[in-house]
Amino acid sequence: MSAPMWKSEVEKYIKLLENSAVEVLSNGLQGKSVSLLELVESIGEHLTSEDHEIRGRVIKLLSEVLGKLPITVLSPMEVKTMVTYLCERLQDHHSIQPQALKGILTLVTGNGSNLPEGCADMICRSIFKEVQVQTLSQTDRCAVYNIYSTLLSHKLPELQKMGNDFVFGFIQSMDTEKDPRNLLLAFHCARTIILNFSLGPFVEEMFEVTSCYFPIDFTPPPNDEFRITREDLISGLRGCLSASPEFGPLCVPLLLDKMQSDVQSAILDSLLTLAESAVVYGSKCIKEFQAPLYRCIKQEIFSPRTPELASAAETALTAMSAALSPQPGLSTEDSDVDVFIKEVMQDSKRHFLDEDLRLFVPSCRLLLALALGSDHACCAVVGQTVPLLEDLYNKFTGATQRKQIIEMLVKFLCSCKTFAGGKAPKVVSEMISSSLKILMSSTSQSNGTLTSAAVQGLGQVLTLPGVLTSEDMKTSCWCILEQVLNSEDKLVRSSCVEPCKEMMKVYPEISTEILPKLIEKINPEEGEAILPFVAIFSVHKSVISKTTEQLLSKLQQESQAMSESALQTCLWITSCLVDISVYARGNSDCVSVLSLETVPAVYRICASNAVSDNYSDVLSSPQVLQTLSVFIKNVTTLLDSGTYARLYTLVTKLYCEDSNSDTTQQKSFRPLQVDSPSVQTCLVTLLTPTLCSSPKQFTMPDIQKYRELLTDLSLRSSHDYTRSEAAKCLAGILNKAPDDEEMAVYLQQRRDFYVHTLTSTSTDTSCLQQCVWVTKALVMRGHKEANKFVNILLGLLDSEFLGDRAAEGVGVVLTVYEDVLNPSMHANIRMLYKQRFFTENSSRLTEGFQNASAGTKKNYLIALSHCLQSLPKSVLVRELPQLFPLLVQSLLCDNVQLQQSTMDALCTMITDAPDFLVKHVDSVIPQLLKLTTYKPAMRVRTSALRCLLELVSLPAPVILPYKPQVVRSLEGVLDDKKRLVRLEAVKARNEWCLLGEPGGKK
Amino acid sequence: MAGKLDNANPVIFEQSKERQVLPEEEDDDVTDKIDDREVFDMIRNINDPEHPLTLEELNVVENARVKVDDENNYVGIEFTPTIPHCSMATLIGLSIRVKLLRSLPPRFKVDVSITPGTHASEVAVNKQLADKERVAAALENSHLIEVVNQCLATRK
Repeated sequence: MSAPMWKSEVEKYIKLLENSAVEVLSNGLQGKSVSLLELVESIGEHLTSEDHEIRGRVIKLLSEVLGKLPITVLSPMEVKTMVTYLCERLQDHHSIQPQALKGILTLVTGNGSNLPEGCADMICRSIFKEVQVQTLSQTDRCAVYNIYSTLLSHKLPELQKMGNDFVFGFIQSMDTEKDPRNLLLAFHCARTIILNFSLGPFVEEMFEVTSCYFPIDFTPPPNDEFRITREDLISGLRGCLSASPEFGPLCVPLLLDKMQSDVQSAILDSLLTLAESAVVYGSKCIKEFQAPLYRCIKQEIFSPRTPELASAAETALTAMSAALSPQPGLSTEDSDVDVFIKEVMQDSKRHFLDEDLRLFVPSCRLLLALALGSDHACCAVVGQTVPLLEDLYNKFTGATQRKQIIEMLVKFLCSCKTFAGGKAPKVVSEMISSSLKILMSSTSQSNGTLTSAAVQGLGQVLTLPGVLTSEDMKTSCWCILEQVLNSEDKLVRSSCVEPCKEMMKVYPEISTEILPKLIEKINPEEGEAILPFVAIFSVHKSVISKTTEQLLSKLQQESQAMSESALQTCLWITSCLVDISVYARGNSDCVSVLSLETVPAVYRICASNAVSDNYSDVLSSPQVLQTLSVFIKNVTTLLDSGTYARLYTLVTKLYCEDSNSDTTQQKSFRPLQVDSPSVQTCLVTLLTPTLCSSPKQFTMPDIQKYRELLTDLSLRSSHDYTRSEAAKCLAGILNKAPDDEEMAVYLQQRRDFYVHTLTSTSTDTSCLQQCVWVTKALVMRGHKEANKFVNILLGLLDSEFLGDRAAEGVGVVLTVYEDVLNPSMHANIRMLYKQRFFTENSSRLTEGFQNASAGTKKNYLIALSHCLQSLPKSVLVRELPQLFPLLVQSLLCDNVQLQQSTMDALCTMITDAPDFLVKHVDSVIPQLLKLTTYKPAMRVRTSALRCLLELVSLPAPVILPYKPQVVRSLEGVLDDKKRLVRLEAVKARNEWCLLGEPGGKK
Repeated sequence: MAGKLDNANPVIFEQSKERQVLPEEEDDDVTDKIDDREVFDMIRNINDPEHPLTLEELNVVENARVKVDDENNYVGIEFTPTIPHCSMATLIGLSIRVKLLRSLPPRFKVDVSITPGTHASEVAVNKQLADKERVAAALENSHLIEVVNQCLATRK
């Protein structure tokens, strides 16, 4: 019944009328209403047509139908029939081949490893026999390679049976291929073939057909949609060249030849190819070419053209050393690598005797590269060089030379790290004691750079696994600690930081001994240098509790001292606590001590200071409180909800309950009450890190109480700092508060209050501040009421009194703060909230700007520039063109902040949207030149100069006309009274001078 | 470039650290004088014509050999060729001159000369570098200015 219908569809398709046949047939075949046999029979008459175009259409139809079918529809038998049939079609007219190939590819990829036995053989033989790959178009050649590649991955055994026939056929197919897309595929197939087939008589042919592309020279066309890079092709080809040991004798001469060329990329490619293939080619081949290869590599290391080339040469040498090294288990006496090392040693030794040691470092780099080749090579090199370097150290007395020598010495010692578990660490451990002596004696010399190098060297030696005896370990550690304790050189002390961190990993027991000595030294003179080390050594469960206790009591002591340096010392101590909290991350023992002991102690100390009669100003100063707040935050963000809840209860008890358990105090501690003294209320800073870091699943029992207290405090406290800190804390809890009835009532009441209070003539800055933070909390979580609050805020931009603060408020809403409302404190942040804010409000801001009075116009520009600053670059580049007129306006405004952020945006545009900016250089360049002499603020001048420097990257024809003008007017700026401005002017003017000059930028 | 390098394996010296920005330099009201270090910073990153290294790394220019007198509008620079027969000495001197021409306010008088006793034809080179007309003529030579510009281009 349906038969006539699909048959007519076929007719239509062949007469180029409609394409619906594909759909009908594939559905029919799937629904079994049409059988494959019927289909083939029905198109039979067309297949014998004399017109090759008609035959082509039929094959195309067949291929397309096959492409639509799920693999399971055809039985293996049918698949085989189709394959046979399509392979036969390859003999037909050349215009039919592509269609047939597509059909075959569909069958091959669709069936994968289920392709019936015999098909792979048949397909390959037909292609080899009938298809001249070189004459096909790029896409059809691609189909051929895809067929090979799929068969190679699924039907390898069957192809392997074809043996040489397949290898030869493939070589013929890929010969003279030029398209990078196809080459990638061809290289992939070639590598598989080389690895899995015996190449027999075709070794040379296979090598020729691949190596003719070496070295790869390819630059992708601009806007290349295929994104094939030069590196892709290089690694594809390298995979082929390094696939067979038989290629060695052919490939190494080629590499040698290219290493001597003048083209740097060719040298680099050769060196890296050698590095990858040396081990595959084996010791016999490498030994044969050892001398010339070594000459080339030495050349690159001794007079390096680029650091990249030098390091590639080192990797190549390492690979050679690995290839020449004896196989494990075989005799190691006088192996090839030993002979090689001996030669290099002899070559290098003479450079060690040079008086100025000018070739000392490159010689060592050669030897080091050899050492990294194998465990055996490492033993040999280290065994020979280390005593030599030790002698050398004693021969030279200059600090610079000694520094060079010990740096190299340490590198040799550390080379055994690569062979942990091998013989090399044992060799090193046998000879380390004399090297240690040298390192330790270097630390006691008066030269700072030498001492730092020695300290760093000791630190690295400490990390060698199982090399040092515990006695040596101890003496080395103390040698470093000696510098920590007594050095007066800043550089030396700072170079001790990393070694000390290593020390804590391998020898944490030392902390109990060193800490008392360090803590003794916390005084105004040395505290700054010593405290970072206290932090490093504190993070161990055996000491952390005691040390933090000591630090806190030191803090208390210092804060009571009346000296001028008290604030500074307290800040150092609190920063040390912050460091401890950072190092403690991941160490659960330490975190629990910090949360259960230290943080409560911090609260206790601050609270008791606040109620004491002779309280310390230092301990209630914003700087100290904020550092402590960072410390608390670092701890609370690491807690699980159980531990967090304990801390929360403790803090709530302290802040909200009048009757403190400590009855000895006369005054009560009520930090959240408006009428409390500011020394108490400022402690709201320490409430934020606990209250606002609650884990997501934690529900705050006292939220209503806090909400009321903080709302009141942020509005009515007489202390500026308290008000702003309270507003932040309020925002932190509103951001996470459950969105229930109470919240709705609260927000309604706040909104009414703001609308009522913040009129265009209002001057109530505290109310505005609270409004800004509440808005931020809501915008960040994407609350449904957020827009209403944003409207209030933006409405104020037109206000004469509060307009500029409202504009800054937009900045607050969009800025990420470290102390509240950030991801680490588990804040409730909606994805892309900044972008949303921008898209929802940008048009309102531009309109507002148009209608605003002259005095308030700049508020809109400032608000807008805050929006722009918070956008990711990609979005910014898209949005900027529409806003460009406003940007130019902003440059004219007399507001430093605004001008600067505008120029930042401009810089982004120059690099990311140059095409757009090209059209506007005529308005931008003169304006920027004017700003380079803007008297009131140097920041504006430097930004303008930076923009001018960036402009040089625009196409030369566009900016060249401005060169005389720019060069002339920057001449004056060279004599600016500020050095930082002159620096930028020098940079910019020099670049402009080079513009369009021979040898300069084209 | 000449096939054979004059000095194939030069000794490399450490670069000085970036100048620390002092608080008074960020103060809008303070006037910072042009000093030795500032002028040294202008020339220390000039590329050597032969090596992918800067003049500072080759110790051709040193902070101690830069003399600046801001009040009397004078800058004096001595540079030290890596070897006494260095054929590039004039070119290096010229590069320093051009760099300062582009970087210093025009009120300064600039002297560029070879450190006494470090070059075979010291007198001749100094004479060439001090002759304003010869310098101007050299800068008209498009091949020469190309090489100078390559020395002055910032390395990316």
